[in-house]
Amino acid sequence: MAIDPGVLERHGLKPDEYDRIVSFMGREPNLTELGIFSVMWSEHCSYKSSRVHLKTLPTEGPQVLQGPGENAGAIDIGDGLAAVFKIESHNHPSFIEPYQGAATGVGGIIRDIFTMGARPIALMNSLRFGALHAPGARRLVEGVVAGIAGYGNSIGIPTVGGEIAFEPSYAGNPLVNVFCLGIARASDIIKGVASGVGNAVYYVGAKTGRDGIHGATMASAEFDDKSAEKRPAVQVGDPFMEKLLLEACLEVMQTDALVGIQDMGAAGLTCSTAEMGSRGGAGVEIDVALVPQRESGMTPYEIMLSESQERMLLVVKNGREAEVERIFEKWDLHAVRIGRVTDDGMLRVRARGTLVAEIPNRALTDEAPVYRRPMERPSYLVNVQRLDLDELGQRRLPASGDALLDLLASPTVASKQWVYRQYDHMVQTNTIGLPGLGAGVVRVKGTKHALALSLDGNGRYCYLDPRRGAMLAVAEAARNVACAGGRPLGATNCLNFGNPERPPIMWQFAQAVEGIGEACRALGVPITGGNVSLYNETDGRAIYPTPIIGIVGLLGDADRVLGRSFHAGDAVVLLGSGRGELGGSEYLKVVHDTVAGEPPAIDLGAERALQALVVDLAERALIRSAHDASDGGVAVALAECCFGTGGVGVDAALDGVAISSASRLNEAAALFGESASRVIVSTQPERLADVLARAAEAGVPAKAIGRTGGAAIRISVAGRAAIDLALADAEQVWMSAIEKHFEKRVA
Amino acid sequence: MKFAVVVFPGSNCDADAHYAVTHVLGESAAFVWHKDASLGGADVVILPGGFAHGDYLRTGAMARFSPIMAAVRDFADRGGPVLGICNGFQVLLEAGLLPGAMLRNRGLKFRCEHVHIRVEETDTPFTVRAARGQVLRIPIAHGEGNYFADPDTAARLEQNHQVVFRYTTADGVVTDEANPNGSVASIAGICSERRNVVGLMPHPERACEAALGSADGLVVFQSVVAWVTAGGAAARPVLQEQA
Amino acid sequence: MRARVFVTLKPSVFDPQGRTIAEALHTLGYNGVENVRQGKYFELDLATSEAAEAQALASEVADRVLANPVIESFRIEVG
Repeated sequence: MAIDPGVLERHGLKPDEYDRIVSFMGREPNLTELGIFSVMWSEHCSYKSSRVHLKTLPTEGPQVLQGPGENAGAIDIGDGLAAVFKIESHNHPSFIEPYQGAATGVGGIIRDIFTMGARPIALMNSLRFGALHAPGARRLVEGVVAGIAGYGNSIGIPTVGGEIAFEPSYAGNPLVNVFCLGIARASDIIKGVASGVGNAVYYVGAKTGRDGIHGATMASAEFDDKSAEKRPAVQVGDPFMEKLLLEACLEVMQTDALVGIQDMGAAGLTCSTAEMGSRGGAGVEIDVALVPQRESGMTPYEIMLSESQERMLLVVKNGREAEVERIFEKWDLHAVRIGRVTDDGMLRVRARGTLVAEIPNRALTDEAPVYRRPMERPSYLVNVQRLDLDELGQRRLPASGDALLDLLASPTVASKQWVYRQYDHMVQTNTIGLPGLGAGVVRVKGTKHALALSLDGNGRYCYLDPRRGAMLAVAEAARNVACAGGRPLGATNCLNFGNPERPPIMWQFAQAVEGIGEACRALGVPITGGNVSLYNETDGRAIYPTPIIGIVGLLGDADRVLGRSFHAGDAVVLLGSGRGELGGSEYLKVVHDTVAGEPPAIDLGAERALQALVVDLAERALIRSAHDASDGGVAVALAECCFGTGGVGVDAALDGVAISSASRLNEAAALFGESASRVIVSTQPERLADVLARAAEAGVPAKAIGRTGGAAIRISVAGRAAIDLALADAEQVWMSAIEKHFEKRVA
Repeated sequence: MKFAVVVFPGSNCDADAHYAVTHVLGESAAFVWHKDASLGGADVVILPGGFAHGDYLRTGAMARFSPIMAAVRDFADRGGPVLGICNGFQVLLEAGLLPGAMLRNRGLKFRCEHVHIRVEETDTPFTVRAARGQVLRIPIAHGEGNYFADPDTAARLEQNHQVVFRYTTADGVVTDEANPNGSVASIAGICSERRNVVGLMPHPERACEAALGSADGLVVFQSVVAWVTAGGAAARPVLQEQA
Repeated sequence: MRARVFVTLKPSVFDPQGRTIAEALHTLGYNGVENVRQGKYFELDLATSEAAEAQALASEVADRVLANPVIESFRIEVG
């Protein structure tokens, strides 16, 4: 091999991958070609470690208009409309430069949506950080939240929901997963494809600079001490430019003058030209001298690999070029012709006419390496799955009221208002399900419909059992959508894991994908696209395996949207049954500083029936609120139903469970156990009998457990008083927990 | 009658204002591009919220140079009703159509939430259908809503009854806590000396339907419809009696 | 010729960003820094090579666009 091993390593390529390149090309690649291969064959762009597993996911259904493989997925929502959505990660850049890493993550996912011809109408995000009190944590959280807010607010797309959790596991590797949803006329969805020999290839948007070169390879590598030096690889976002691009592109798309369009994201010009060519079975030829540049002396290598933000690549129908240019000029954007479509399947790059790179498109995309990496069940599992409940019961256990307050004060459970108040969640006047109260809900103007959206995941569960943890994540996301009154229709996933070259990590990944597949099939929710983020490790320590699931559901009648807030004088019903499962629970972590046991069991058939029942009750306006029990179990869920109501408390009685010989632990298990498939609903007393009857008909366990009202949160277990807290006090603890870490009044 | 909603590059609440006027109020509205020279014969002009020109340099600073602003200025000079919402208010300040300037929120963070504002004056085109002291629950969404006027200007605003809306508690009491951004004298909105140009930081177009959380903002639009229908400036004494 | 424009908030205008920075410096032990005011700095590359012309042009640009005279003042350095 003639190439210097150092050069190969800097490009993130292995020697055998290099040999593959040489055999494809029939010769040694030059440096520009090597650079192109390095980004296209990086984990981030090629999914080489994950493809064989992702292939097993269910991606089809009558409602699916576009499955994985395009810039985003799309589902039919009736009225000739499609919901176009996807989730993406920007983990590594957010650690290096929190504000810009998060901001450009938002910018990237928004482009993926409008490039399909959809107007983005909602954003969500799922964030993971280390413990809030650890050094550097606050700066990281502030930066990421400010970055998401700065970009999303400026471009005018509301952030309507999401989740944040804090676990030491994510300390050196924060997770920033961003989701975007847009609406398009189903017939107007436009793909990222290049076809039609001689058609012009146009570039529009920001000028190309040296930002982010090798960003794709950075996302495919772990962090170590040298990571701080990688700062130049982080891009700076310009939401104003993207707003102009969004409006101009949507206007151009309405003229039907485009063959295809794609945004330039990871691996910039290289990825968009190669992918568009590949999809169309065509070739693309460009001259980098024509590419608008904002720095001088850029080489073809740099121009092809640059990840400058807010740029789009278009293929224009023959004869429509002037029209397209004119529309972009109106928005003070310059669309520049940089090349043309050919018919020989080659990606050809010229510099002022001279050929500098020539690669078969398919070598970069379809023929990228596919690995079936070795897997091995990790050795830590045996120990960590052991949870000795009798031993736990012997410990000094706090009173249940104190335990509830501890849970409400823990950052993962506490109110996130400090965060979402920084996001404009109302722009576009569609938001009918405000953040902090469950799934985000946006109405679809011009129809009677609304869409319910939720992002969910639990890394701790997946650490204890990746397959079951992933199933629980899918179930929870769908359940949250159902609790808003929406019928789950489609899903997207962001799979955040450690280094796949380590067999135990690959095992976690494969297990999680199996779990997602099984749950999606059982619930009838296909995966329409998503993202994989690997190498989330620092100094050999991986994050908890963290699949994040985003689910979109449809409300037939926007007026039937449900929130979780109680109204005074209503009956409270618990749907589903609890078994006091404490494995992997928030209670175990917060009160006993223990991560152990198995995550809760899940019966997907029961889950499906439960969700269908809740949606049915919502559609018939038989219930006035719905909220699922998750972190912290039923006790936390009941408290959350009381918060934000202006003083409506609850008086509830729960059945006991017998999981140990210690009665106080049994009480805690009944209150804080996280058994799956449970929802708390409230209804007017005169409708109670009807609700219980429908539950019985649906085969869903249901029990009236109490009444709303009063100024306290009162819960008894097995007939004995367990919790009696003043609502105002509990709410104050929940509201101020996160704010306390940050807020300092300046004036 | 017709509303004109001016669109600057980066405006993003233009569609919301248009929707409130057309779908909720049932009036007609047209978008006017910032490069146009004419307002198209509109009876009311709205400068909507958003981030015109990215808010780069200063919020509203570059939008004031847009060609359409000459027409807006002319329209205002002739007594036409102009409503600047959030970024629109910032543009009016930079353009000198309203006195004062906008600073970053005191807490340095963007804030999106429902707040309460009290109607102080009911003789502007946008408040004739409200009652003095009426409290409206309206959302804010801004990072730079800290209204500033030097002491002389601030005193003059009070003397001339140019403060149209003030941040208060739900009961209509002015307190420091109820002021979300630190603006001087808890000012949420003001009007010009001639009273036909009104700027406010809260978003009334986001409070026109109960489904969105509050319909208290409707009165702002209903007022100007009544004002124009009654003949505009000439009919002011009549409208004041009715309200 | 290059002109440098320094735009700062007028003394009477409260500067929460400057105050926050000062407090952060104190937390880091820089008690010798008594106060901080934050402003903006612009570099203008001008076609002229005459200092007087540059000063005049920069002043006009600063007064009309770069600074908001209600809350900001500016000074120019040329050359």
